[in-house]
Amino acid sequence: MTRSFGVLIWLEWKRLQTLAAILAVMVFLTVLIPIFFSPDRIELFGNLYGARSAAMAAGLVLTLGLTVFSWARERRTGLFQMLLGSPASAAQLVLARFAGPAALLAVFLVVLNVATDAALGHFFQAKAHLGLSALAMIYVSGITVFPICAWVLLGFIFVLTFRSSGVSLAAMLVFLGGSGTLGALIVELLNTISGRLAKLVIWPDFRLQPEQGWTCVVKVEQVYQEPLWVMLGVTLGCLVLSGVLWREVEV
Amino acid sequence: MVVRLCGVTKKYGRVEALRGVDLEIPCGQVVGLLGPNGAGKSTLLRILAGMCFPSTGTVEVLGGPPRRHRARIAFLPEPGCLLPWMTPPQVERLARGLFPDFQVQRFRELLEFLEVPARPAGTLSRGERQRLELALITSRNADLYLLDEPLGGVDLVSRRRILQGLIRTWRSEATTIISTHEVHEAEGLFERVVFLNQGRVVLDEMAENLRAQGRSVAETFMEVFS
Repeated sequence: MTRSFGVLIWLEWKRLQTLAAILAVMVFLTVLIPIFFSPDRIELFGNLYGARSAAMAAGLVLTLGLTVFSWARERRTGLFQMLLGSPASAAQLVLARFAGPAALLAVFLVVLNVATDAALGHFFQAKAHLGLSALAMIYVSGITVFPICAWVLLGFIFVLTFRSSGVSLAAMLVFLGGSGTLGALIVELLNTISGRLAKLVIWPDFRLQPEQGWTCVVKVEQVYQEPLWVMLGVTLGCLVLSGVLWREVEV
Repeated sequence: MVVRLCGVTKKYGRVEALRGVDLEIPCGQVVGLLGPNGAGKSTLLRILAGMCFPSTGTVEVLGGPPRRHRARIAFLPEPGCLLPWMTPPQVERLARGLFPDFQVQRFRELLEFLEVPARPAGTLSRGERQRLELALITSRNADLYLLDEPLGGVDLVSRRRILQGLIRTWRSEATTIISTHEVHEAEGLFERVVFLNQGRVVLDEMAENLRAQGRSVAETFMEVFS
């Protein structure tokens, strides 16, 4: 069982290798380009933050887009049939497919954040709190990356189960409509329950203070912990549903 | 019975790929599944492999639903099961991880016998890739082998090699179902032939009986479909 999961992870890694290299280059450029092209320190501050936000969004879209594309391409090959016909359980197959892009994105966010915070700390002579920078991105991964990856996987398998009946488009619309409703309910739930548990002190926030001659301070912010648990629950729910649906997939 | 199909139909939207197929295959037979393009051969094999489910009718493979016994079924799908970057050692790694019944030694011997170059699948010719895939599938100790067009689109030398490979790995206790267009060259393998046309079984006969009537499988094929 462990051996087959290991092989499935290896397959995922082979699939994501090129993407991992692209993301590594993105991290490098996100830090270097603002440093070289910012005329002064104030600009550098804004540019580093701006580039980081853009790189985060681009990394997410790129990873999810290419992952879905490679899943769709693989479905047309015999390898997909071989995996479907292998003794590996649905849970193993689903978990491996989720783990690949989710782990890659989480590592990307952590490395990107630590690298930009290290650069900010270096150029603004501020203590960088790199451990907290990493922790903050693990939190972000928990509330966004993991549930989004699990949701995309569920959507892909959901559409796949209806594909041979020729109703892929209808299945996609039903899935998106259902997800929209569920998303609104989750937001409502988070608004209701957030703040009941103790907040997590994990968010290092770099701020420039113009009144003190543009000195830089790092303020450690608190974040709610309820969204993390709720979104991890959503992730788990999506993975369980994917596993159940996988048994109905036809090629 | 290793395979039992009862009134099996399969529809893809409005297209009916199989229409009321009844078939029973006992243990140890080598069955040729023959028919023109679009006859339903691949669909039938996919149903037996548990890749898809029948629209109506019942399917039993090795005494239960195909997916329940997927660990005992070795299926070679028509599009090929290798990605372009996979080299023979990587194929071995994949199969060892996925299939507990995979025989590493047999795989290595087959690679040598079938003369498969140690290069990524994407750089191999179609015949070489087919031979690599055949080595992968037949290196398993499965109870049922389902081979979808193992000879399709490959040159004569590769076809001969593949057929020799099949004979070499033949196990009397295993059942093999082969779908192919290359009736003439593969007919020596078959104990039984099932002819499919437009989703229906039009002939189901032991090859020995055909030969006793002075007809080869290839001649019978031409008679039925011309």
